[in-house]
Amino acid sequence: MSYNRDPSQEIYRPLRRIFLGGVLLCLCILFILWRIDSPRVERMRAAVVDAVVPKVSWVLKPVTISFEMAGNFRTYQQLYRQNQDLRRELQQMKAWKEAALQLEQQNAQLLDLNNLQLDPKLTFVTGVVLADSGSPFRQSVLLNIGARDGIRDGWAAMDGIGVVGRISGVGRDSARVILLTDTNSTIPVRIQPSSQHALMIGDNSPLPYTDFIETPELVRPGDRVVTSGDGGLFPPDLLVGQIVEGRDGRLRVRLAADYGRMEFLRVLRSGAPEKVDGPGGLIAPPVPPSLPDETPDLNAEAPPEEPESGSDG
Amino acid sequence: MGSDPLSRWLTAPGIYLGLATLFLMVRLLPFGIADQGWPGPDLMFCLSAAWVQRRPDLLPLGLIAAVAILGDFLLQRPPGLWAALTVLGTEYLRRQVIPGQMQSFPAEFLIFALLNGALILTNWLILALFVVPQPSFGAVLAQWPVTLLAYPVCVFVLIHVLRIRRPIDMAR
Repeated sequence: MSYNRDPSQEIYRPLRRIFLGGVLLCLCILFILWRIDSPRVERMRAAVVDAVVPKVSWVLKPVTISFEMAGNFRTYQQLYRQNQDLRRELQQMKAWKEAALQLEQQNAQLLDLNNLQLDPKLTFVTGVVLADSGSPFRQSVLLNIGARDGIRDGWAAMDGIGVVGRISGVGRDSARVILLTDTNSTIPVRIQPSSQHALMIGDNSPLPYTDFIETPELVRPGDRVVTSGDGGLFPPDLLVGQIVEGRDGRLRVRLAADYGRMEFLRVLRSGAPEKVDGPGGLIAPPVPPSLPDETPDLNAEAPPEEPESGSDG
Repeated sequence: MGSDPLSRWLTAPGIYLGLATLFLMVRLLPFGIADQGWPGPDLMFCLSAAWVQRRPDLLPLGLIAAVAILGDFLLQRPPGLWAALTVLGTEYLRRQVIPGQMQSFPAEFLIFALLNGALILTNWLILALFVVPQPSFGAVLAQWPVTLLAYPVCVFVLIHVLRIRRPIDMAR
């Protein structure tokens, strides 16, 4: 109370100073604690966000909707032109749809011929986007699904088409998705059709750049970028986007996901990646059953129909 | 708004909290994901600074600290640092005001500009010292002019809408 200088207030001034010092000390300790033990404080942050944001989401929703309506209203002005564009696009799409149907049938036949097992584990949980990061330097969104729905850190989030980001920070009812454009986002990708492995690194711009391409000469703008599944971070072969050449001459990725209209996101349930333990044993003639004391890793060369036999022995 | 002191004491923290909630929600709304333009102004700091120079008795230190730390948590900032700097800055302004004396707006604005610039620089320096990954210096510094532009608006709303004025201005 600096302007209130009557003597009755004077006795509070030392107390007040101590209080100020205490508050500053607590805040600094919190910051240093965050720097030393980031995961613990980040869990605390997730708990705070989880406690606050879902409670105010009923306020957030109408405002979000009205802003979306305003945005939609703006597009009414270009309705005619848009309609023409859409018609033209539809014509092309019909041709593509024919091609896709034929290819799908062909693909199904080929898969059948090869007796190929597709990965059945990709199921997903869909969540609504509640809030974004609130900071111009952090690219993340908050979903209304969390640990209660079985969400875990590291799972991939997609919109209908492409990868959007990965889960980082799970509360009970909320989970944060770090977008691919965030500076903390680095994911292993594969560039098709040349099958070049690369890393896609976010830098706070709408187009993340690619780095560590083995032979960059083989990569052209327009190539498709999919996740490679290296390191078990993401399931392989999810669509990410297309290569474009940035203004700075770097190869960047135009993301397939529509970052302008993120309402619902799918979080892919990916289990822990299967581990390949050990280099595998020697290939030797089958061991006669009369020798039970044989070393167990010789059993590892059982025929491929029984992959479990190594652990049984 | 009641003019007797007691109701002022009760409503003012409520108004501050309400505005803080509003500012936080506006920043959290998910429609700014795609656009990569200028960073928004730090309205919370503007409001606290303008208020504390007018009615320091209606804005206790604990309230500023609590709202600032909540902002740190919700807006994905390193927790504690910007809150500590906000508390330091507002305490400086609180002591800056000489009771019973007029202060011209240009002088107030200049002090605010220098203070905000200093706090942004300190924040950047401490984060660099602790090797926290952070955006480029230019992007951080871009917040400064934007916040300065918002400050007069904030003061205007505070004086004419919320009627938070210096006691000497009210007496005239």
